[in-house]
Amino acid sequence: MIARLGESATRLRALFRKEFRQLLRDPRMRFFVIVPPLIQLLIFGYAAAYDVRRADIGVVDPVRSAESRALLASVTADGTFTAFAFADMREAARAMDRGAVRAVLHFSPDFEHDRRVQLIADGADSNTALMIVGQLGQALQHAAGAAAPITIEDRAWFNPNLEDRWFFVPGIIATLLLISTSMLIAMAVVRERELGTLERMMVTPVARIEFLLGKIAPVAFIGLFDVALVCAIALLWFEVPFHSSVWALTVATLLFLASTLGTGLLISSFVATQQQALLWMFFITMPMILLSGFAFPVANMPAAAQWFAAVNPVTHFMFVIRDMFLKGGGIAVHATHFAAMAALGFVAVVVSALRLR
Amino acid sequence: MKLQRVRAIAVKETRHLLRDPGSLAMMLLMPVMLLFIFGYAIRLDVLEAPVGVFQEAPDAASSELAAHLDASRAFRVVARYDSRRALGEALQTGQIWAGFVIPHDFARELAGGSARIQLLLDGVDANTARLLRNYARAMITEYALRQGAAEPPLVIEERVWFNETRESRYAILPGVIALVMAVMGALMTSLTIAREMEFGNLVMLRTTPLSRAEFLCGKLAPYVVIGLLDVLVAAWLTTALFDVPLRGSLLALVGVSTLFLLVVLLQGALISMLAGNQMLASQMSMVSTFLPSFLLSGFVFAVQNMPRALEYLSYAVPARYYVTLCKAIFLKGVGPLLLWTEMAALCAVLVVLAVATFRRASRLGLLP
Amino acid sequence: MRAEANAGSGAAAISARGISRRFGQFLAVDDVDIAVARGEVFGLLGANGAGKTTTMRMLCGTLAPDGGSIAVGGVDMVRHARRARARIGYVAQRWALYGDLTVRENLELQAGLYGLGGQRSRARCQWALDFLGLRAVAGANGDGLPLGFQRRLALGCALLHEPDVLFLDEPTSGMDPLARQQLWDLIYELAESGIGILVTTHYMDEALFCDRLALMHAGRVVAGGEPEALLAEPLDTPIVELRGARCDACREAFTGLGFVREIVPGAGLLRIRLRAGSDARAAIETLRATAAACGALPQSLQEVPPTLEDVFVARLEQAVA
Repeated sequence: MIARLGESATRLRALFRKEFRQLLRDPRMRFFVIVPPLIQLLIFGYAAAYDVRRADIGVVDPVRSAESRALLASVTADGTFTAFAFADMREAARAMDRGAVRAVLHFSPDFEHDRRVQLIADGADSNTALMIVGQLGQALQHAAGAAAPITIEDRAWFNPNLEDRWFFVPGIIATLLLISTSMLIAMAVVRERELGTLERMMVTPVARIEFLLGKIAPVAFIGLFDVALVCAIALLWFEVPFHSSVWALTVATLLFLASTLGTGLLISSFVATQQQALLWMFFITMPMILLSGFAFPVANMPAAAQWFAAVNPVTHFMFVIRDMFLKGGGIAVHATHFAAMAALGFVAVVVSALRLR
Repeated sequence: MKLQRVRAIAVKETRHLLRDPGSLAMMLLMPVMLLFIFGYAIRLDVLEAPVGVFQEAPDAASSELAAHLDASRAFRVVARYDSRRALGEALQTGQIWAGFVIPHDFARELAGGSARIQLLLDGVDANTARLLRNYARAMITEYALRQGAAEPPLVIEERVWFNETRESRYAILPGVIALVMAVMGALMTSLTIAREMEFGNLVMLRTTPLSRAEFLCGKLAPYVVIGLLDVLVAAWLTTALFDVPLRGSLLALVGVSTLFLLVVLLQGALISMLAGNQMLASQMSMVSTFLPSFLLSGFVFAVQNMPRALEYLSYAVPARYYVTLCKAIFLKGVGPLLLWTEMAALCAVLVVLAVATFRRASRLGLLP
Repeated sequence: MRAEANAGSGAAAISARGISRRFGQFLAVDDVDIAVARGEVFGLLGANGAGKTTTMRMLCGTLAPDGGSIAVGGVDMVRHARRARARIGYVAQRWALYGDLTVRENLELQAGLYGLGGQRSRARCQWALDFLGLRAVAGANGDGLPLGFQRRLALGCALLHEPDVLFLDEPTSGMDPLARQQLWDLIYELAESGIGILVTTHYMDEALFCDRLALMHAGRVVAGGEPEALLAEPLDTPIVELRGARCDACREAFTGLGFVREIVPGAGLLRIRLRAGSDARAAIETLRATAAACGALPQSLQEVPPTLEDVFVARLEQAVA
């Protein structure tokens, strides 16, 4: 028994060496495994924002009364909105059609007396339109000196300044890990099948589980490395708070890795060529990301989508990692999600091992 | 350029595709799948958000306000909590997304004309939190007016053009078509040439009179057909199933889509040749097509909101122009002529890519 | 040896003069002349790294020479590459056909690439299937086709457009002797139809099948001409052959002898190459004595005529020296 384990260990060592070399031999591969996750993180960290920080608006004000000009001045004071004057609604409409302005303020000709103004937003980007209507409308009312009968004092917990970045950056860790590890392992396994070397390996004393472990090892290593890198940047560069422990994060990451690798292996056991693997992986990972709560809330989704989200390991990791970073929940909150990831990963790996012929 | 040779390559490529029905099905179904997800499952607006209410004093005015909140489409009062701490715990565990605290002197202050309530938001999902805050403000203002408060000094008439129903679906679906095409285009071609390089199939082509142009034209032709099929199916689903209007012309859509398809197919071919093997090609195409198309195209995140540096970077992402064109054609009913800057940008990208691809193709040993 | 009936009729199939190619500092091909007549089978030999492959690539037009001129079928390969490529057919050593296309479809692809349209393409593909005995597998997928069939398909693909010149890169490597013979029969048939054929090979016996040869070493041609002429030239280094049981016992003893250059053991024999200028007769006496001293009694011990391999080894040694 001990001897068998010893032999196994030797084979594993040889496999690990071969797999690492194959995967990372090409310097371009090394580049693409490390650099893009960083770039994605940085871009996402800066690009992902739903609130309106800058918007060009058109203004149609034929009369140009003192009141309207004062209103406009105070609304554009902080730089969020930049006003462009248009002679009439037709010109302004053309500008909206072309996308040059996101909204148009049309002051009524009798503004001094009736105090009416039309706020027209570009609905082609509806989320922004809602935001603009809200923000601009608020700003206008405030500038006009509205004394609201009921005011709301609001406070945002866990993310006081409502930074979208704090929401997205932990989520990126999940999506990056999913895309890179599942794709890598699926392609690596299918590559051997396509080139015919898989058959050769199956003839040797290598057991199926050893072969799979050999494939998993370098990809898992790369995954963990990427996570560490991304977390470091999230904490040090973006200054996203972290309210949990490194241990908890590591356990969660390992469980999630098990499920992403399982997904990749499962796909690889069904396809024959790398082209098919790429297409299938994409077909599977796209819904996995979109229906995980990464960018769009799960609770708003119809029942069918919520069922999918429940068996989607990304949803669970997404919840856990956001909780760890921002909320600081403990094992009680995370337990079910950990269990779900473990179960899903286990099932996937077992099925792929069985299918490996 | 001899048509015979182009045809030979195109026929070969088509045969490959037909012999791999799984992949072909995937290429045709991917857009459908994504449209379904975005059309049915994804909503950015908030409905029936779970909230909690803590009334410091159980008087009529507070209860009336709470009932008003519950009656709205945006909020669903999950529970009335009896302490601030209980409210806080519910927020911590995620049971509620926001909590309203109505102070004990609310009734008195309201009568006096200036009342206050507290709103605690779960800030993890910042966008939803903001939306909830906006809804709350609108609700409260409406409530105050009903109670007979004074009219606000400004009368703002709000309109949303191109999307009167304010459904997020309207805005997103034309963008989804663009995203799908961007990704599909690159996925379809990014592995084909790399595969031939990996397997040594190109050796035989090298000594024939085949030229680069003939090779690339023949290779891309079948994928242009598939891509256009995808566009037509996507357009049909968007209009027929999801009721998003196509206010512009279908011809314009097809023309613009063909231009964009050529861009992304060339991009895939270039990646394929640069990588030389399928594994690297897949990594390169994921990174250089999918992510920029998702992040920097204006598909979900407005480009104006980004730091200048990223805004400049987005000018190099072809999908950005295609998203704008699609949205314009579907929702605004304008044509490519009005958006000539976007068209010009796409043409410029096409030229650059074509030159780069052709230059790289000469390394394959084909005739110039 | 085949009759030279067709040799020398009409324009040269391949005419390369003074071609050279450098890769960085390394001079891969140095001032090489190659002339192949129509209907001639020309063998290009040499070890790996001798410049064989580079020369072949230049002659095929996939690599541009740094200097010199190349004409195939009378067309300048450098200046009129497309026309020139239309005159040649090339069968690579490691050629992968498209696995998910059938044999016929692979042929159709090549036909199209050479610009053959509809009717003509069909006719030529049919011809190729018949000529190469591929009718039975015409509808079979490339995947899983035995090596012999793959080679024949490769040959077929190269002949569809009726080229003037055919390049065969190690055409018989990995084939069994019977298949090899069949392929060479095909090659002769093609040569008789007037095609100029350039073959590279590692097999010495195949070198004998060629009308003319060129041996390359370090980028230069160190030996060339008709095989018989090469064999007829007297060799500096005589060859002595020893046959008998227990001759390997003597090997070590023989190696010590001053006039022995090299000993190549074979099945039940030893081929002994003597140093340049040695007297064969005297050497044989010494060897016989040495053998007797080892206790071996050779069946025969005599000078033998050199084989082509011996000629080449000698020429290579001269070139290196």
